[in-house]
Amino acid sequence: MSVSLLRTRAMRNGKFLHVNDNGKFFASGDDFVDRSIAGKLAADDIAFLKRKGHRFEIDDAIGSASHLFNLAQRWSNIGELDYLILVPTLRCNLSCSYCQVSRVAEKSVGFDWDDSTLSSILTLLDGLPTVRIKIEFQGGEPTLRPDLIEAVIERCQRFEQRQFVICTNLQHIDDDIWRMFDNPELYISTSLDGTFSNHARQRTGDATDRFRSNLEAIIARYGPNKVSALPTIDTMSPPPIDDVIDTFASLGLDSIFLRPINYQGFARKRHSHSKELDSAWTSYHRAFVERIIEKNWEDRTRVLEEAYMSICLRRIFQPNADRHVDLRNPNPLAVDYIVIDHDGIIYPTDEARMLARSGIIDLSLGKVGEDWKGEKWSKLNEHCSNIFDSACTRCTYQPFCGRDVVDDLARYGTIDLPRTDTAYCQRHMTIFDFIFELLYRDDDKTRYSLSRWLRLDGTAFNFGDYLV
Amino acid sequence: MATYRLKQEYKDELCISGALSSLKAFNPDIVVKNDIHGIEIASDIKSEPQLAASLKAAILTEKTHVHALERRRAAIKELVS
Repeated sequence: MSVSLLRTRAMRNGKFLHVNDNGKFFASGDDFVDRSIAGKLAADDIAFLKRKGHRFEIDDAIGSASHLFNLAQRWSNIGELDYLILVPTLRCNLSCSYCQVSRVAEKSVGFDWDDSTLSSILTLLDGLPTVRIKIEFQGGEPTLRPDLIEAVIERCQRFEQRQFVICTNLQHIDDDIWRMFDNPELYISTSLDGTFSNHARQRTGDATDRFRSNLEAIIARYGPNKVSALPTIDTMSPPPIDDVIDTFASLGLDSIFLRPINYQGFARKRHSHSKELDSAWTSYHRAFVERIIEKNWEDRTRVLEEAYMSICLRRIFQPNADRHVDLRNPNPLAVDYIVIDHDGIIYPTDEARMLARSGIIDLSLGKVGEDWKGEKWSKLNEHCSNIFDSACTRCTYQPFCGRDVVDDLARYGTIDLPRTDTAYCQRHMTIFDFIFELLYRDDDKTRYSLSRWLRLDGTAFNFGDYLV
Repeated sequence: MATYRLKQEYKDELCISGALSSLKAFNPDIVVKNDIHGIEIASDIKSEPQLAASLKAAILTEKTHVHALERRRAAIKELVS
């Protein structure tokens, strides 16, 4: 008996996409699909399917083992805890309308780590068996407490590999903060909402010049690789695409991580349209990527990319190459990364912290210093995979896709709804549809960008087979 | 609005019910009408050839899926016998 592993999807270009359980794919025309449905595959069809690992005989031990090995490669290999998102303070010196994390006024009291919380965090770090550590400082505005950041960084020196990220609004940089930034293991993540005028409108108002001069000073001092600047786009009034690309390119920031307003925190009330991703976002994102493809072809001295598009693309060709926690499967919570809030409370994700702050649902797992892997943790992790979901098992993109329980809870208050009805599914269906359309586009400039986004040299000309 | 009426060859497919349900799930723009006149699928966005292609893809996926389930069932039966 033969084992066939394919799921099929009609593409916009009239072709059909076939993807097997472990992510290998090819496209075909109408005739192959007709032959398949009728159960009348030609000898050449069967030879092709076997050669490419899409079909094997049930008693073929090597074919079966190869399939299982490739399947295992697709499943994320979750290691020990080595990634902490820390919130030393909830205080912030800005008040953005769609602040995703909730914040309190700069002068508020009682919203920073106390001595006991800091001590518990340092003890936790001391006990981690990992040799590599990544720490992301979130807020509030974490640079309001450089002393707490320094204490953590100092305690991490025992790890062989260290990376620190400070998520900051860059409103204020004094000598202490510059000294901290000088650490080559420390990176800066900030928001730049497309253009400076849009950033002023959405976030910083009169304080935009200060933000701009600080951002430019950092890039001048350390180079653009020190910084990632993420634009949040309001699809009700998005900035012109060329202006966004030009703004980022002029700063040397080639990777642009376009994000719609996240349906979290204050955005739930003030930007309620952000609950579902609408066609406006899809059109904007699509046009943005197409424009980047044009620009990369015109000027091959640099490679611009839309970062999430590249992450999704690499998921197709490089299983387990990315550690992007929003796109992996299984996606167990509070195993290899956790969030510790300003009061020492542990959350499985930053979004879970926002949900608790907004009073939607309390997904806190306990306090730092205590064992957080209790009943709530177990229950959350019972649903952290797309492997047995009835819709996902019929989906061509399951091998590349992920699962985000917290996002479902944030938007719908439940995880018990058809996958295809969720924003997570619709967003990724749209992105993967677009990527496969590009992969089978007969066009040199598109292939050039795809190749570069895969970190190749730009000369790849064939990304997938085609069966007539 | 583009419509596509199911051909007899597809109506005879054992997995047609699962395929239609899957088609609807993965293509929210498609409406499936099932009445005494037969089964018709329609969409404001897709053309008739696109509707036919989406249906074919759903049928093929469903057939593979059902086949995999049968295979698993047989393997389990063998294990417990």
